[in-house]
Amino acid sequence: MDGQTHREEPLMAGAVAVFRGREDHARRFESRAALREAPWVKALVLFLSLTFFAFFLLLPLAAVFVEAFRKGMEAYWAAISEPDALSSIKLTLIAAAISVPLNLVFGVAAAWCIAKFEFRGKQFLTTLIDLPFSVSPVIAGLVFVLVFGTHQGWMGAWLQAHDLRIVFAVPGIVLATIFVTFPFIARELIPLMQSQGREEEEAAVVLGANGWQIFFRVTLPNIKWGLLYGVILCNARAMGEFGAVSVVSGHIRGQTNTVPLHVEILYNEYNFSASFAVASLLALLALVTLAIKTWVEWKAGEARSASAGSAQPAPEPTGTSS
Amino acid sequence: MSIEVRNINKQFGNFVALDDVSLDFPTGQLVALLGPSGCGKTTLLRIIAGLESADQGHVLLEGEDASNTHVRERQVGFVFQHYALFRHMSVFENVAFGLRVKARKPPEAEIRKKVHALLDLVQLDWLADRFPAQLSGGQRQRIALARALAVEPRVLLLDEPFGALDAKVRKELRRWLRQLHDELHITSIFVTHDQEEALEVADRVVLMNRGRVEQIGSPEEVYQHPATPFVYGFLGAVNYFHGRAEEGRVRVGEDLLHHETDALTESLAPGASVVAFVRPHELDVLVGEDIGNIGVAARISRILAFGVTARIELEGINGATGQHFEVEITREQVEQQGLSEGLEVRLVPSRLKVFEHNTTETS
Repeated sequence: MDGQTHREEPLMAGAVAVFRGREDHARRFESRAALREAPWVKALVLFLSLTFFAFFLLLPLAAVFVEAFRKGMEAYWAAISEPDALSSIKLTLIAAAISVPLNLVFGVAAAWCIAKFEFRGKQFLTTLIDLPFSVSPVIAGLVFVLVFGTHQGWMGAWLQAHDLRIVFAVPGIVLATIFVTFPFIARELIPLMQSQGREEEEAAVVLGANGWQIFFRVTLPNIKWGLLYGVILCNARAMGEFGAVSVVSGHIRGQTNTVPLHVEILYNEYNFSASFAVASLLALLALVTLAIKTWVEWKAGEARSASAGSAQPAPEPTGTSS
Repeated sequence: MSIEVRNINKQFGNFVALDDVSLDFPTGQLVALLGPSGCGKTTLLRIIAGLESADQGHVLLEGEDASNTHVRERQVGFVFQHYALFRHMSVFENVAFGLRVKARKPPEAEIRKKVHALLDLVQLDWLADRFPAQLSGGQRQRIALARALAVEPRVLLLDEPFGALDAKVRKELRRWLRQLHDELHITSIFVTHDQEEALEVADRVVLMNRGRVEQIGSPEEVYQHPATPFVYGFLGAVNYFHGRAEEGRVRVGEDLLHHETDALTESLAPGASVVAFVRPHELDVLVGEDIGNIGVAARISRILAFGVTARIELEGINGATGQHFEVEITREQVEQQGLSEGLEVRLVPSRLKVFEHNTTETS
């Protein structure tokens, strides 16, 4: 799980949402003989995609677990329960526990601004939100070293005078994680909130609701599935981030190592089975994330089809309105 | 509650949405803001509600300047064109919303009683547990109205309330809205681009065009005595003739149209360029050679006889070449006069409204 693999996620999420909406259509399409493809075409497409899937996705995933358990259950347990591993797990959880809630607040606020208001510089703000996606995570890490670094950083002297450590310490790791995971929630919410428009909020304010009431009673319930989806992606990336965190961490064992960094250190020490054992935790996280993501998509799809009016409209009773 | 708007101006970029609009809405009346899309009627409604702010001018609610009163304190009920029901709430909760967000929330039993009373009023109490997506368009709009009424607004504002509904439901709801207004007598303004809807439902009609008020009056007044060419053209089908003013008549090419003189035609200089308006049912069709140059010469291109009246489409010849006319007469007349397609006839107006050309904008 490095920086590259997650970059496509928001786009794919959109594609998935579109795809779900068209499922009915696809089913109808398949059932018409005149529109059906020849069997050999179907077989070929299926074969190609399954082969690709097996080689590039399933095989590596299986390899992680096979390698992890190569020396048996005990070695596996020892690898993930030794103090350095536990401390890296703890640090990863701390980084995620701070950055995800903060990004939740930032993301909702940014999406709210962009989707519901017109202001100068809106386009600029939208572009700015995408910045963490468009710069390499290594650059992001270096920026923090440049600003907060003890010796050469802009604020280094001041920080040292006050005995504060940011780079090569936990705060730096949290900052780097926040930076790289910033877009996930905002990007998930902006199109959703834009498509919902402002009418429901306007209706609420005319009925006398104040800002908080509008947000918690009208806006939030309407975006909750998109928000949850964004949080899941954000969390996965926060726990899996390697590049930016690697630059600011300083790789101090037992202190500033997150799980991905710990995996790398073990690997570089030729301690393969321990390395894969810890890596299997990340792989497991990925599987759990996928499972929750699928569930959220399914729930969101359900909510959407309910609000899109697939249910039968109640019949108009005759004569009541005349 | 009475509503006054004074000298309202509103611009969106370079587009002037409202140009110095001043209007009075007396207490208890149902007023229609009627005009084509982009004429500023919805903007005016939103300014009255407080959802939009005017660049200049004031909104007075019950004589008091409300320009700085927050939307939630104006006590207006607003009904949106696309209902804007809260999609994640049941019908009951939608109607109860305005009561639940009150600073001093009424007890639950009172809320239940009130919501059910309102749902009874809109005749949809049996749908209380449904969600908006499970309702038809007409039902959604009635729920939206019940929701707006729940907070006991002093004014009811409706933005194209029936615009998104199909023709049959629209007609039913129109009648229903009129009945409801007669029961509640709440000052109401509704925006529409449908002239039939405005004339049928409203006590008074305000006609708007390009950010300005063209005419205000009862439905009969504005229909019978349109003040401007725009109003004439907007309210119902119309034929128009371009020509020059002469004493008591209009010369269209070689042809002559006679009209009664009124204040407007008195002021016309002889020879002035004018446009004369005639409704389809105010034109007589004359056949024969002996009538000279009275009326405008035209050729029948189509006769459509479905209902009680027959609609005749004609092409202008001589002075009015290339123009299309529409006439409505009874089917008996068509048979008596032996009208048929291709026949050359003369069109003589029984009633003619003349406007000077340079101020004329036909829609």
